[in-house]
Amino acid sequence: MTKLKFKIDNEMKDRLDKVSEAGGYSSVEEFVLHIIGRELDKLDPGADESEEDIRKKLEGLGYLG
Amino acid sequence: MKRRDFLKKAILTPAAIAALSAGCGKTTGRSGKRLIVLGVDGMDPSLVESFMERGLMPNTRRLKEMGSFNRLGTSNPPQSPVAWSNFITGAPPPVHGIFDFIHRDPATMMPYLSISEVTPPDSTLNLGKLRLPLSGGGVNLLRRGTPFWDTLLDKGIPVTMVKLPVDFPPPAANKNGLFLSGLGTPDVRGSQGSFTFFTDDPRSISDNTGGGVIIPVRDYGDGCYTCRVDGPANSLIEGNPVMSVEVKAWVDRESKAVRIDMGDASVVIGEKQWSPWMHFSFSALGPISTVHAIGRFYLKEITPKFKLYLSPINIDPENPALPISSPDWYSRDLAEDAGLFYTQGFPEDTKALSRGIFDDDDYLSQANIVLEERMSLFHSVLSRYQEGLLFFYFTSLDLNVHMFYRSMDPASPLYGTTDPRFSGVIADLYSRIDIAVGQAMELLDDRTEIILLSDHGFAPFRRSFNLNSYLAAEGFADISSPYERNNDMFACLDWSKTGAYGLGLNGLYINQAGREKNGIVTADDKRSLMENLKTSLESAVDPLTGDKPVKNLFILEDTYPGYQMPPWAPDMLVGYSRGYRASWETTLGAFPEGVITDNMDPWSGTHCISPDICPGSLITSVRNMPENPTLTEMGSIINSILTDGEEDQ
Amino acid sequence: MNTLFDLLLKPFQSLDPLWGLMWISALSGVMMIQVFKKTSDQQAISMLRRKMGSRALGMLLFLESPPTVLKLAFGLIMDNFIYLWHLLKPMLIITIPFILIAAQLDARYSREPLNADYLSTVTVYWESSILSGEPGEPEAGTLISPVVTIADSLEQSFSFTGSNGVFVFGAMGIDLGSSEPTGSIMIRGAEKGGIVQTLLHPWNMEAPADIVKIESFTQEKNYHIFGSRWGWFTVFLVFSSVWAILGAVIFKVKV
Repeated sequence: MTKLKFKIDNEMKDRLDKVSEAGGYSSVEEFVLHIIGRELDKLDPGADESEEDIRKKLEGLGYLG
Repeated sequence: MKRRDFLKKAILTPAAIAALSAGCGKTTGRSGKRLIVLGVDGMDPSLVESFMERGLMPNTRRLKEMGSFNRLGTSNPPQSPVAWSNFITGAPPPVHGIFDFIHRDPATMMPYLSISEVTPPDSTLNLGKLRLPLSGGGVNLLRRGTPFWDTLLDKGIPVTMVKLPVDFPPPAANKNGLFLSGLGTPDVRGSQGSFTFFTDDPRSISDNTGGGVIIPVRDYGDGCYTCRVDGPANSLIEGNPVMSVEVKAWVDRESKAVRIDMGDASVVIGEKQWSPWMHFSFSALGPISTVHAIGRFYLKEITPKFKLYLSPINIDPENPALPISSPDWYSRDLAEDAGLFYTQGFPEDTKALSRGIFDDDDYLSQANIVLEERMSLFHSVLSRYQEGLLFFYFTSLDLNVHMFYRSMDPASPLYGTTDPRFSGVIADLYSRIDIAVGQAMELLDDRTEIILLSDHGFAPFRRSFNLNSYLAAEGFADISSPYERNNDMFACLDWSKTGAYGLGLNGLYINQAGREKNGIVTADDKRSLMENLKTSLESAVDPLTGDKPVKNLFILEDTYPGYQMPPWAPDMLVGYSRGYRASWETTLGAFPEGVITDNMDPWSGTHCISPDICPGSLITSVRNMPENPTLTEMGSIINSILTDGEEDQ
Repeated sequence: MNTLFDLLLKPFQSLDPLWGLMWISALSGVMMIQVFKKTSDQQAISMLRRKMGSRALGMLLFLESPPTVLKLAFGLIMDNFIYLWHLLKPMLIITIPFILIAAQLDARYSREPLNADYLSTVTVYWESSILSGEPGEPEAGTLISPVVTIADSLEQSFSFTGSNGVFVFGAMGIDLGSSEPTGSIMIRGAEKGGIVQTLLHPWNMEAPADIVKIESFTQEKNYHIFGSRWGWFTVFLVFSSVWAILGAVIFKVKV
């Protein structure tokens, strides 16, 4: 595991605390890792199919939401 | 083509001389038996009975009087890919491997379409940004098992299967076989049908664009909208950028018409008019590699807002970018005879109606085009049919009944808001299918039989059952991120506390240790968990109606005993009661608030329920059909008819 | 040219268009090889080909002597340039009838006759102002779209279906896509006249006053040969080349 350090302003930190608690995350760190992972899947799907690719393939199938 | 017409053409066409010489002198030495099988997706036996009674299906009634009418046992679950695979292979899902529209890879928990897959090349030659495929890659049919018609082909009996479901890509060329792929065939973007909607109306533009893309466009004062049409991804270039073509739409607001210019082609259409099929060429590598496709425009509105719909970009049957027929010239041959046609598996644009891009009139005009094209294709195929098996598939009854069940169901939450003008839509569709039956019956003689069958029937879809939300509410699944409840693919779940999850239209899975990516349920605990789920779900009650939404919960190993289940198979199948279906959110793994809600989507009919509630139909000129026939038996019955019973020996 | 081709194609009027197209292609191939014979220096070409043959043979014989092979190869390259120079004059001369024949074939064999199943589109480009708001109704067709007027570029467009589209623009009637008899010119539009229009665009009529040009988008025609679809130009190119080669053998033309 690599350790990354970065600074965020106090206002954002307050919002992070609030949202991660409301979302039921055990810690702010868990929440941040979750959203970073999700965005990475979207922007850099790598070799595996991204959720976006899958969604496109299923698009138009009237049976699904 | 009739023989006389063919001979006339042969005299006048030099090219036909070669064809004639190739065809002459071939004698099959067979009995020349003929069997026409009309596969009408979703034709409901109760509705057939009712419409025959009302005199709306005189040909079908005549067929029934010649032979028999039966309810046809469907598959479990009664979904078209599963049911038609049962028909094709004569075997249940554990053999052909199709259990739902949607499967999931337990290693990644990612859902995928169960029918076919596109695989990238194994190796490529990289030249700068160029990626030239060297080996591997292609389209694979995921249905397994042996199709019943292989027996006929082996015996030299001609087989023609047109718009055959779950058969994309089609089988390898056989000198006695003609195949055109149906359900499961994608559009050129690789989706099951993705429309494009160009508009300068910001209210139309929302994030909820499932089923298509909405492209904002603007008139800069010269009456011209520049519309970029996206095609497939270019796999020959690094990063797979999307290929696109530019279309210019010149509007005349006074005459309420638009001229659409694309390359050298131009067409003018007025409001509420459809363009003919237009050819799109997406250049992957200059003139060396081009993807050919077709699409149709529909001018929904020109004032006060510009609204131009473009159908999903279909594979061009005259120049297919992916294999859609076998032999490959067959799709071109049909298109030249019957005109261009929708090649995508689900041609009716139900999503455009569900998303409000179409209103009921727009949708019906599009669905009407689909049915007219299909009738024209049927006429073409029928006129050149000589002997052996002819299977022809109609999709219209299924998709249109899905969309308009509300027009004949007073209990539907949308019945009151559906214009009474549409109350006869379904009856009209059945009577149009009856016309096709009549055309086939004109060929009946002492060596010809007809079978009219459907894969399943229909039921109303009034109430949505949020299966995953139910599992969470009852403690079978654990939600760790409540604000992600509405996101797909189990975004809100804590897998370490989740025992079961729902995906697809009927699938219920155990989060099994050693199989699922984050599995926790051991093999020892699995059976008791499934039994708990069965007891729980079968006793659930809809507080609004007092009905039980789940009629049967099928444990797969009990339903199909003795079969080895593939890892993508669900562990259980939810057999919903009449009036209920898995909610839209359930199908892709979301957990919305509330367990049972009204279904407010125009998609108001369903068959993804308990199979005993929605059997298919079987009407045939063949006498002595077995009692209580099922779809899995039909292939063997067909083979037996065409081989004079040899199949049974 | 129009009359000449009408006469040449008269025997093929009642047959499939492919026969007429192949007939003109064959005739063109044979004719072009004759033109080539008359306009080229046959003696020089013959000598050059012998010389090139001997150089090639020399290269094979002196493979063990690289300087000789190189010298012969250089000579062979230079001979190729001389050969191309000999071809230039006859080719330039042949280009003229080739273009005229191609224009005639394009006018006669590149489009399907108008039919009820195909939506054809016409665009009229007015000269200084749009004089006619509406084109006349087609004689035996159906105007299925309203007329789109693009004021800035003085254009009007409309689409129609039908087997015979006679439209009236101002004082002019234009009979689009008439295909009877087989192999006759199918009118596709109009333009300002002159020799260019008459010879190179025989599918266009003379545009009336006030109109710059009229264009139509109609169905392209393909021909079924050897199990695939060929455009008229491919048919022409292939069959005229085959007959040119045959002609060269029969008439002993050095190419």
